[in-house]
Formats: sequence, structure tokens, C-alpha cells
Amino acid sequence: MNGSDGDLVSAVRNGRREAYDELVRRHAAKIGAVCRSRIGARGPVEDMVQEAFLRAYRGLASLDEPDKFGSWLYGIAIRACLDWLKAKERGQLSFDALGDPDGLRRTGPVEEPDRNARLHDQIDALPEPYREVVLLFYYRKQSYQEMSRLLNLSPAAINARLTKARAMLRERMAGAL
Amino acid sequence: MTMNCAEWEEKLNAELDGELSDADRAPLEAHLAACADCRRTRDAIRAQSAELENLRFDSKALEERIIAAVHAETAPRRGGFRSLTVLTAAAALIVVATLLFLPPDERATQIPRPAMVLESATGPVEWAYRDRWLPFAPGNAIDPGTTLRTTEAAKCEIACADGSLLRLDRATEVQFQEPRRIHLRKGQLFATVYAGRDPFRFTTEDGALQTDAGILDLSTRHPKAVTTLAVLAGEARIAERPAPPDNRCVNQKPIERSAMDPLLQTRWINDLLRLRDKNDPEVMQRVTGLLTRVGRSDFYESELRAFGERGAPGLLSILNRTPDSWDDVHRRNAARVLADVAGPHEVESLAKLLRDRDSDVRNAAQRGLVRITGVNLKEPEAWEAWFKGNQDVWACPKKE
Repeated sequence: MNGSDGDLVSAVRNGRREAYDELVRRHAAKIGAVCRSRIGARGPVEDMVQEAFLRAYRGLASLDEPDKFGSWLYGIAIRACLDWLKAKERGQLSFDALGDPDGLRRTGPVEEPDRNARLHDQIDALPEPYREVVLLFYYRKQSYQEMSRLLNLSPAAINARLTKARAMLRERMAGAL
Repeated sequence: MTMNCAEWEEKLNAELDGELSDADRAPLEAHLAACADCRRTRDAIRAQSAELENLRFDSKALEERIIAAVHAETAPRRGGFRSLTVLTAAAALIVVATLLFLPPDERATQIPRPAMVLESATGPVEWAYRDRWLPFAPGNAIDPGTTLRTTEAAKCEIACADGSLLRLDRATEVQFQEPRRIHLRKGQLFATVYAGRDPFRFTTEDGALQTDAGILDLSTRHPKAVTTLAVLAGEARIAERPAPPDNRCVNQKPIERSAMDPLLQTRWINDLLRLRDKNDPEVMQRVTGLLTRVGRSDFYESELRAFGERGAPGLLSILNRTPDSWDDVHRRNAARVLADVAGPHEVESLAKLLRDRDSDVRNAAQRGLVRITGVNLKEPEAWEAWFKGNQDVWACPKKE
């Protein structure tokens, strides 16, 4: 299904629920990156992504500017993760009950599992603004322009953050060897 | 201007990401030809990026899972509190009795749910996250400590696990400190409070009040922070002193009673009521409340008409009440408005009103039928025969 996010949101509101399927396909990987950056690779990332999309679906009528579905969904995803983190702090959640403990499915060759695990640990250890751009970029290659719309930053700021994040990761991975 | 190697590193990253501008390409190549450090950095970034590519997230399975979950989603979640409001004296007594004496077990739903949930909104609602305001969607749980605000374009409803209901007007900011404890920073809120273990406590910049159960409207206008309270049902205590069901300033400064008809004071909730099903008891009560005031000021009739087709069941409830307990003026007003706002689902009801004892009501019903159907018949028998032959088009769907 083609059309802008705003077109798809309007279609859903007019009863064409299948239009929401396309919104899911467009944004799932990006929201996966956001959730992964908020709750870490070992958190129930997929559950959080699903929760964000369900909340967005329920609240679609309140979306004032349909073309801003992406940034609206981003806020909802952050909120879902925060809810989960708070519940975790209160001891209300069982990790075992929540899906794949690795949280993610990755493509590509599984090589040097130790190094891969270290890389994930180091990404999780990055300050949040840097972790977020790395994950957004590599989960599903987002252009600087797309990321800048989502994060409300200039493309130059995205470039600077990615540069800094990669430099920190190189340094930390070298130190971890 | 000469760039240092740290600045060239950003250009190297942009090049790797396919984001380097054409204007920067030649200068970057020239710099790389002259700078061994930057060449090493470029090689390191490329090697690192190959490793990071393994992070690529295959979201196909997740997408299908989410789509299935959305398809399985039925109606939006709804609380069980929707039948409450107080707009007339008689209704007030009934509702207060319900609020005070209904056993807690019968009020609560069987499924544990969050202490508070944003149920619905007419526009964007936001929550404070660090130094930012982020969107807050209906269906979200409201954790203790959360600060929510409605924008200039939004009003919202919040359901509490104890059955209580909070409504926020436009440009209102509220901190949910804990269950049954709310701080109104600015704006206006309407609360239907059920009895619970503890009193429900509200604070503003001016002071504090609490109620065990009741319906109240609290308004504070920042930065002057003049807080007004209207108790529509039950009893609210300001500080430690009981307040009668009346209007008082939280600072014990009396306020003028003008324009403090509850329907006027709480007219802002009508936008939220219009989102509800037209058979919602609270909608019907508000419609009948407005109808009893038609004639006092144009406001009441215009608000009544603004409910549109949603107001029809409330108006019909007055016209069809047996024994007929409404005086003729109210019945005629109801019929007059109904003729203009009724929709296709009211055709059958309008046809029955053609046999009403009051000719004004009959004439209004006739006018409504002609408007909706485009058919112009004179006698009730003709309408009944017509309706019988066109039931598949005009019959009102049966309630589930």
C-alpha cells in the first residue's frame, strides 16, 4: 500500500484497518531500535515494540497531525519502555515470561559470539543519545534526514552524534580486548 | 577556514553513510591524500561499520506478530464507570447514593488494571519526560508521579482503577502524585469520585481539598492561581472544614455565585460527552438537563443542539416517558429540537410520535420525518404503512 503516513492514518480512521499493517511494516524496525536503546538488548524489545503499536492503534483518533505518525509513535514507544522499566523496578515483571531473552533477531553471520556480545554490551553502555543514533542507523538504515525528523535534530547533529558514537565504540572495543 | 582532523572525521562518517555533500567530496579527498591519521581513521571506521552491519534487525517476523495482535484487538478498552454524572437535583441524589453505598467489590472490575489510564482525548495530550513534553496516547497507564497536560486543542478523560473518572479541560496541567491524590497546576478538571479506602485529595497552588465521594469541578487559572470549586454532588472538604455542596474559593475567599449553574460551570465537558455513544446515560442526563433550561438563555439550546444526533435518545426519553411526567413546554422543546437533530435511526420513534397527544409534538415529528426521509406523508397511518414497507432501510438496529 502506498501513500504517506498521513494518508495511511486517514485510511485507518476511515475503517481500512489493513492500512495500519503498512504503518507497522514501515516503522517496526525503527521502533525496535528505539526500544532496544531504552531497555537494552536483553530486555523484551519485541514486546515493547508490539505494545507501542497497539497503544498507537488505540489512540489513533487523538493524533492531531497524521503526517507526524512516526514521531508520535516514537513518544509512545519511549513511554511503553519507561512503563516497563518502572514495573521492573517494582519487581512486577518476570523476565522469564517475556519472550526471547536476547530480545532481538539479527541477520548476518554469527561470528565470534564473544565479540558480538561485547559489542552489544558496549552499545548498551553508550550514553543514550549516542546509543539511539547507532541503533537507528544500523537496525534499518535510516538517512540522516529521516533520523533528524524523528529526533528533532539537524542532519549535522545526527552526523556529529554518529561520529562520536562510533569513536567511543572503537575506543571501548579496543579497551575490551 | 582550516578544519582540524576531528572535523574531517565527521566528513568521513558522512561519506561512509552516503551523506557527504558533493561540495565536501573533493576537499575531503585532498585532505586524505595529505593526512595519514585521517586515512587510518577512515580504515578504522570502515572496519567497524562492517561489524556494526551485523546489528541489522530483521523485523519481518515481528511485523507479522504485531499485525496479528492489532487484528486481534477489538473495541478500545473501556472502564465500567460511564453511567455517572449529576446534572439535575434528582439525578444528584441517585448518583450520590450510588457513589456512597455501592460496595467496592461491585465497583471494581475483575481484571487488575493500572491505577489510572488515559481513556480518551479530543486532541494531543502530553507527559513530562525529563525536560521535554512527549505525546501520551489513550490506553496508556498513568504512573504515580506522572505529569500530564492537555494542549490548547485537547480535552481528555482519565479512568481510575477505583472507578473514579477525571476529565481535564484544554490547557490543563495535572500531576498524578499517587492514586486518589492529584495536583492541579493549572486549568480545570472535573472529577467523579467513588468512595474508596482513603479520601480523594486535590491540591492546587491555593490549597487543598478532599472528598470521600462526589462530583466536583475544580478550576485554577495560572499564574494568578485563583481556584474555584463547584461541588455538584456529595461533599468536599476544603482544608479541614466541610464545605456544603456549593461554590467556594479554596482560600475561603467567597466567590460570586453568578453563572454557577452546574451546566454552565461544566459546559466544557460537553465536547468529551459528544465522543460517547448516544445511549450513554451520562449523555442522556446532560441532554435532559440542558432541555429543562431551554428558554433561560440561548446557551442551553445551542449546547443541546451541538449534541446533534447523539442528543436524540435523551430527547426521546422525555417524550416517551410513561407516565408522562414532563410538562408540555419541555416536551414541545424536546420535539422541536428532535425534529432538527434526529437521524435515520430515529425514524421509527418519530413515526410513533405522530400519535402523540400534543399537536405541537406531532407536527414536529412530521417535520423531522420529512427532513430525514424526503417523503412527505400526512397521516400517521400512511407513515406506518410506509415504514412497514421500508423497514430494511429505516429500522433502528437492535441493541446487542
